[in-house]
Amino acid sequence: MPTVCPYCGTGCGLQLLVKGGRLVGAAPDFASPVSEGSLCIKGQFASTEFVHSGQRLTHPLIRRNGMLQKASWEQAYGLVAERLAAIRDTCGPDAIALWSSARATNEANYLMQKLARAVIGTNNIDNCART
Amino acid sequence: MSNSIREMEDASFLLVVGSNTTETHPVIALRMKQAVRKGARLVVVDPRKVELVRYAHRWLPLHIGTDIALFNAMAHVVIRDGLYNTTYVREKTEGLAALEEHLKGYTPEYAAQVTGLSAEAIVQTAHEYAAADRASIVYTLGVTEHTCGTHNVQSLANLAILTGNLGRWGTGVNPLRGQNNVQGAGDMGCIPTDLPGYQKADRPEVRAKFEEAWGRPIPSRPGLTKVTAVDQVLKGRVKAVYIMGENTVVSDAHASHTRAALEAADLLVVQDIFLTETAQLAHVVLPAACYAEVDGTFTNTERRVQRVRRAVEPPGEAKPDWLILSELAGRLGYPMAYRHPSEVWDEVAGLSPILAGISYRRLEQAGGLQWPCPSGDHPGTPYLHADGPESGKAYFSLVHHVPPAELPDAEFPLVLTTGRRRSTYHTGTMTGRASGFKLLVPHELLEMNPTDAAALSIADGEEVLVTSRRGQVKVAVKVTDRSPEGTVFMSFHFPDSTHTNLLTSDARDLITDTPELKACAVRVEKLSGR
Amino acid sequence: MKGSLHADGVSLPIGEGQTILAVLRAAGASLPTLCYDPRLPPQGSCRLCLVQVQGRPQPVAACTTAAEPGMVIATEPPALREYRRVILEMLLSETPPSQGCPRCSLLGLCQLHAAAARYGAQGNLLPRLPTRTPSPDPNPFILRDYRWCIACYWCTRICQEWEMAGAITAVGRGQDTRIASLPTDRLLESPCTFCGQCINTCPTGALMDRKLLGQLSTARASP
Repeated sequence: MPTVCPYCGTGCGLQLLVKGGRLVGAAPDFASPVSEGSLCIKGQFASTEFVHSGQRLTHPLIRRNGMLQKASWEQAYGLVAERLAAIRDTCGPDAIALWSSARATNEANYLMQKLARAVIGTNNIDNCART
Repeated sequence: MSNSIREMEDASFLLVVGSNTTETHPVIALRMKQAVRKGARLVVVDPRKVELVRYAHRWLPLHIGTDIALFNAMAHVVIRDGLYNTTYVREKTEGLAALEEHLKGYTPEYAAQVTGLSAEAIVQTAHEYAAADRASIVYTLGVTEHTCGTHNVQSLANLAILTGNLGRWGTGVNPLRGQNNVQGAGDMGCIPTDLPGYQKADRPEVRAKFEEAWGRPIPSRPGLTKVTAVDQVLKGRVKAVYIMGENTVVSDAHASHTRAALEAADLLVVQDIFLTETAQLAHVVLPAACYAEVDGTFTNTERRVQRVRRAVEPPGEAKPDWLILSELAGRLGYPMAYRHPSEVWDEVAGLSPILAGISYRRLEQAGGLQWPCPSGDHPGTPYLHADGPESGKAYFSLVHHVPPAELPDAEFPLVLTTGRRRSTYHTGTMTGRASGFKLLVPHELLEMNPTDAAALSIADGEEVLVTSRRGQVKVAVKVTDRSPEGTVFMSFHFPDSTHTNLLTSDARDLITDTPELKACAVRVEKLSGR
Repeated sequence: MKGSLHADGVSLPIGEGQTILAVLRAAGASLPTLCYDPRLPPQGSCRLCLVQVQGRPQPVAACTTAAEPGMVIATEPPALREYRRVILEMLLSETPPSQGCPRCSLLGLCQLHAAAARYGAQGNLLPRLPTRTPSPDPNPFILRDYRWCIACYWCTRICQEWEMAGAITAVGRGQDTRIASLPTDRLLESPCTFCGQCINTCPTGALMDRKLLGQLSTARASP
């Protein structure tokens, strides 16, 4: 499956090798005009194992009595929406800050700033470019 | 980047500044090596003897934080010796006389004193840069992660403008971005001042366009950058923080400050793929799908929008970020009915002139498209400013050398500079889970010059205590001449054992708020016999 | 564009500075090669890309011969097909029987065995020679099973000339040639950065992604 390496900003072409619904490895995409068949150690050898790590988050978590505990999406969305709305209504939209991700897709980033500006009503939107 | 990665191969002169390219951008470094093979001259400006120095014709090991003195002096020499591109300067620029006046004091001799380089090397580099057919400036965070980061970039841009090394193949001023979609995050408007496509949020006509498309008022009040928001949480003015895909408490400067702020927030929501150090502080954690589990696009450092494809299913109930955000927006009374990321993209393209010609259908071609791409039949733009400066005229920047915010003193006599290594990445959430990698770099290392190590009787491999005004960590020493005397280096890839950003300073650039991760004062002590 | 040439009856445009092979590849033709890499200067050593150019007494290597307007080229005349088969038989005689090839069995046909299948080389024309020796290198990333090595030097060239790491080099002569990493032959103790270029250029099963092999055998064990 041709895609783009998830590490640095070079954007090397990566071919993900899939077997039985799992990633088994990666290879360079020789068709990529950026990398023309080259990768570095991270793209070649570190782009698939973390995906199937047993430590991946698999369900929402909500802090109860000081501990993060398993919750449903309904509960998680409900709580986040209710608390964000309450803070916006009592302290104003600028009491909320959203930090987007240089690791997420463009589409996710676009929706994050749309959530900030159109839904919450603040320009307090930034990303990790400064660090 | 103003120009493209592959163009570097055809440059005749490469000025690489504050970039450990072979380790942090290994595949871009391949183009630099090819350029050298084809006869280009390579000059590396870096206080550390980075691996790229091996391929360079000249290494300029300047003192940390003295970049402006060097580049101003190079500009001084270019003007003094009449080596600037007279046609380009006359037709496309403004303010040469003011620049000349401003640079009067930046003689090579003065710069030599400030930077620790020889005046001769500065003059030669200026002459070679100005004489080259196609000179390309390449820089990374060694330039920007300073309190004077913006000014550093401007002093470099002066050189390109003076010599007309812009708007042509193999030239330009080229920052190498560190994360796969850091370019895209900015392009999409995840900056307080800009709506998507770098359309300024303080302009009424821009807001009106988005208000019409989104059906909601867009705030005109300026927003907070991340580091400012951290301060405002501690002051009680910001109550809620929503973080998507970033291990902030490990990656950001002055970690104890960041952690205190996130702990103080009334609501912390973290959306991520692992329970990172940051997610552990959250009130609500939302499980996200990773790059191999989503359809979408990333934009690389040369403005190239490329397709990311779903190869496998996300684990458990984890969902793609775009879907989580749309569903949450619905709960907040703003339904979003996207069925696929391509519909989100179409909305972006419809609202952003620089992306207007890019569609998922066109992105099926290998390599995607480079913006600006204003229409469906536009081939994309490998290099900017082809018809002269985008803004009509290029202006010279009159910037002065200012030392780093925190200089070494008797109590903290060494400068700590931080960066990345080849086989590990950022806070280690991904590479830390790759088998075999521990054999390459098993733990954090403090790189220290043999002279400094000898003065402190520290042996290679010995564990030491590193202290700054903000924190303290233990770390093993690697004695190496990669570090110059008086400077030590650490990465931030092993937060479990050595949390480097407990040490770093959040002194920041006045214009961009970028913290000075490249310089803070520390003390190194032996553990035994304390 | 600088005119066009005729290959097997089809007219193909010639781009700036292109070799015959580049013209053919750009047009999607699948001339076999075992040493050609567009990132490296052509070497012309595998001899598989020989083509017949009308008016020339001998076939020429398409990878090293500049394309000229008006050239009339035959890529698959019977004599060249036979020539390729013999070359491939020679390479097969240096390596173990093809059914044991790890790359073919796990990732689809390797370039050597794909070319052999295409030209009908079956590994039975010549007496089998002793193979080269696998490297006991214990690094966790790259499996170096030189029994499959055909001494094409693609790996050493990409490592030295493109990656410029200089981690591996050819030592010895003739059938004794082997690819080694100096001084200990352990990549972890060499300048190797584990970029994977050698794995991804190797046209046989000699250099393989060790982690991928592990994952594939796990996936196989638990279907």
